[in-house]
This record gives sequence, C-alpha cells and structure tokens, in this order.
Amino acid sequence: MKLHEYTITQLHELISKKEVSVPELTRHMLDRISRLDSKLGCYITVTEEQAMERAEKVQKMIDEGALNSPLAGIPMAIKDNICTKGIPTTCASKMLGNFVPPYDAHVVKKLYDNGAVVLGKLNMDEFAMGSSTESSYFKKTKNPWNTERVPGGSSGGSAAAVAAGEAIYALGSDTGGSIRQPASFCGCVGLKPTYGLVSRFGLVAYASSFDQIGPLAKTVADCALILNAIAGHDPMDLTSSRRQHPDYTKALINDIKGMKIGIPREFIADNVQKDVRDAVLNAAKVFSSLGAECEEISIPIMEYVVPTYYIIALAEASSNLARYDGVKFGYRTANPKDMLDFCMRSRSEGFGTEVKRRILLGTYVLSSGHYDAYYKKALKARALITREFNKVFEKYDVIIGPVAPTTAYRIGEKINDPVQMYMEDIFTVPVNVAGLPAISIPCGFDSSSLPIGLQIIANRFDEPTLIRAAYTFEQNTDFHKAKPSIMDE
Amino acid sequence: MAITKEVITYIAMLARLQLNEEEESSMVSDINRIISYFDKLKELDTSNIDAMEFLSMDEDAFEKALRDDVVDKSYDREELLHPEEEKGSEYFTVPRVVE
Repeated sequence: MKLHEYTITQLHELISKKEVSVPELTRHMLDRISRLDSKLGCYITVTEEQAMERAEKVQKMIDEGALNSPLAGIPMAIKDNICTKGIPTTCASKMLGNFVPPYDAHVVKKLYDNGAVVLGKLNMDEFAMGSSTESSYFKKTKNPWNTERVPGGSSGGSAAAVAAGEAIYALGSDTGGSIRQPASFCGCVGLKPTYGLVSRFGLVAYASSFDQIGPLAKTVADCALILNAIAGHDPMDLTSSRRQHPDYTKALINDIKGMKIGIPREFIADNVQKDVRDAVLNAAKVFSSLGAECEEISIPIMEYVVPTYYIIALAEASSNLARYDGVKFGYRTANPKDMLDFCMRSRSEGFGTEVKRRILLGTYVLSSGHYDAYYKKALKARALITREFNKVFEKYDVIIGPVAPTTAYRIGEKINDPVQMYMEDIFTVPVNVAGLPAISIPCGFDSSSLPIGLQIIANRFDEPTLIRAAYTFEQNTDFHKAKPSIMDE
Repeated sequence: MAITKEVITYIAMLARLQLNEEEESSMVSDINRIISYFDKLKELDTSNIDAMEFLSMDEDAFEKALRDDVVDKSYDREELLHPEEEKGSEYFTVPRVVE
C-alpha cells in the first residue's frame, strides 16, 4: 500500500513508530498533487513551501515529545472558504481572488494546534453556492471515479481530493448538503456536525443559520478524530455551543443491537434513482441483521423543506454578501464614475451568475411587500419542520436514507436548470433546517460503478449515536474499501 | 403574479448589481420559475407559529453569548489595506462622495 492510501489512524501509527517521517509523507502527497491535479482540479492553491517547512517543524515537535495528537503530521487540505492566515482564501470567486486573510479560522487554529500539515486550499462552488463545483470561477473539479462526472458540491474539491488520495483528509462546509453530497458522489465519508458544535469563526458566511464546518475522510474513525480536534466552544462565534463535547472515538463501537432506526418513506420515493433506493434498502437490511429495529416512518412536511431552506438561505446570503462592495477587501473595479458606480461595478464584475441569481432571489424575498409571504413564512415553516424532526427523535435513535436522489451526473448536465438542481437537495437540506448532525458513508455502487452514499441523521448533539451507527455499518460492509483506479496512479 | 423585467431591474438596484441584457432575460425566467416553486409554501398552515421559534432550539448556546469588552491587539494596518491601490496609505480609498 502506498502512503496516500492509508487512513489517519494508520499513518499516526507509522509516524509514531518512525516507519515514515512527516516530511517524507508530505513530499509524497505534494508529488502526487503535482502529478495528478491537472487531471482532477481539486486544488485552487497548493502551499508546497509552507507545507514542507511545516512538516519539518511538526516532525521535530513529535521527536521532542511536544506533539502526540493523532492528527500530528497528517497532510490535509482545506476548502477555500475557510480563512487561512497568509494563504489566499478565494471562495472560488473572482470577488475574493486577491484576498489573503489576516487571521486563521478557529478550526484552522485548532488543527495547527494538533500538528496538521496543510497542503493547500480546495476548489468549491463559488461562495459554496451549488452542488457540482461547476460554478467555481477558477476550474471544474472532476470526479475521481469518472472524470466526465461532477464530484458534487459545494465541497467538491474536498471530496475529490480525499477520494483520489491528494489529501489524507479535508475540511468542508455544509449549508444544505455541501459536505455530504460530494462525499456521496466521491465515495468517501463526510460528516456535518450539529449546528453550533464547530465554530464558524473564519468561515466565509453564506447562510449563517445553516453553515457548519465538518470533516471529509476515508473512514468513520478518521472523522471522529477530526471532530474531536475541531469541536468545542469559541467565544468568537455567537452561535457556538458551550456544552462539553465527548471524546467521539469512544463512540466507535461495532454494535447497534436494539438501536431504533426510522426510514422515512419520503426518502425512498419514486424520485430516487433505483440503484440508490436499492442500496439504501439494502443498508436497512444490514442494520436489521445486526440487531437494529428498522421501521418505515413518514415525515409529510418533507415536501415543504426545499422551498423553506432556499428562501432562508438566499435571504441570509443576500445580506451576508452585501459586504462585498469593493471597499475593504475583494475585487475592486477600475476607473469608477462615483461611489455608486464603484460599488455596482465591483459587485457585478466580481460575482458569477449563480451568486447573482441567489442574491437577487434573497433580495426579492426580503423586499417590502414580499417579506411576510416568503421570508417570515419560511421561518415559521422552519419551526414546524424542526418540531417534526424532534418528534421523530422521541421514538428513533437515527434516521437513514439516501444523500442525494442520484449518483454523480455528467459535467454540464444540470448546470442550466437551477430549479432542478435546487430540488435535488431534498434529502440533505432538512438536516440544516433543523440543525441536526448527519453523515454520508459509502453503501454501494450504481450500474456505472459510481459510488452511492448512505445518509444517517441523528438528534441534535447526538454525534456519538450517529458515529456508532455509521461505524457499525462500515465495519460490517466492504463498500468503503473500494477505491477509484486513480488511487493506484 | 409574474415577476417582470422592471421588478428584476429594481431588485438588482437594491442589491447593487448591474445586469447585462443577456443576464437580465435569463434571470427573469429563472427567478419566475424559482419563486413559483417557493409559492408551494403558501399551502402550509403556519397560523399561531412564532417565526423566531427556531432560535430557542438550544437555549444554553445563546446564554452569556456576548463577550466582555476587553482591549486586545488589533490587526496590522498594512495587512488590511488593498495590496496595490492603498500601498503605503493609511486609509481605505474610495471615489469622492462629497462635492
């Protein structure tokens, strides 16, 4: 096995036993990126020099006994909407093409404290607005399983890099499925934590009441290790939870006897590709055979979830993106006539089409005369949706279903149909609307050999149950062991 | 009610966006389709629901959420200013706003 194929857990052991050094491992990853990334387009920025310097320093600290975190010396990469001091953070937008943050995001600081080696910044949909990474200003990322397919999005670079062995793990962000859906399309594990568990300080805001940072990795155990490092209270994020979080590796228990699992019939309806539905139903059988009690349930409010999500997300986006006026940072137009022209042209030249569409929609639903009918109505619907999920979790430990209605589609296939694209977020957005944690893990392949993800959803702050269910499924199936052929290149 | 080109122009002005003609016509059709999809929400009975209810999901998270005011180190000015246009300057520079 080559170095990039190992998990965090395995590499930690190799590093501890001095069978591999951190600079050696980092060099291997950087060489791989320079060899393969022109084919896949996962990275916007590769921080080669800084990574090698950092690798030497981390190795020294490990040798001195000053660092013993399981993440110490593991080369990883970060979605390009998470601020990294001194390293460009573009949000895959022309608007932030020249932005170099003067500070690190809370999660980045935490990872540095744990000895992480940052390889670079990963491609995404512009401002995380999209589900295919096609709206990036810089490049289109290809799916490592089939380079004619999208990697999903918006954290498409993160998922593709992990799946192709261009990073051992990655950070992504999930506003309406942006960690789980690309993890599903690329066959890796992606975890969206409970809203408030991980600080959003330094995450470029899209929809602040939904945004959450989380890990993408090869295994559930790796995700638990990363979550241990990034979770916890941060006074710089008003919505950061103060509760003590447990050690998530304690939840890596291969046993789900007696666990109660709900499968909403709305998640396995006719709008789901047959291969995907079969894989999810098969997963339910696996859980039952391991002693869980699986029951079909119904969440009738599901049909209102997508409009609720989009109205709130776009309203928040239009407000959050008002800060890009060309003054303090970001793209600035040349030779403006006056202040209004300066602001209008900076915004119009700096933002791409999907971002403009979402700002306009958000402005519309917040505008006088439409506010009550759309925005306020959606907030009320959000309360009802949250109540319905609370009710489900009174009886069930977790909910399972697909992550997306389809597997990875062709590049260009859906980009011109925004309504269709929005509707395909149906299974991921309820999690954000209700602030729940959820995970995507490999559960099968479609007829074109593309990976299928299983989504497991748990109650707020019940990541331990979520991780336990996912870990048990993983330990009793082989789907996560299959790798795209590019892994051998 | 269909959203006209005039409405889009007005909304774009509020959002400080300028659209070219091609963008404008595609936005009119996309936004009409998306808003009519949003209209589905009108079927849902939300009487007697407090719009702010979701904020109370996790009360302890918002308790004592405000930090004390403490003097802290600020960012380096040079790092915050525009790397080219404002090099060596002490201020953000914008077009003249007072005649």
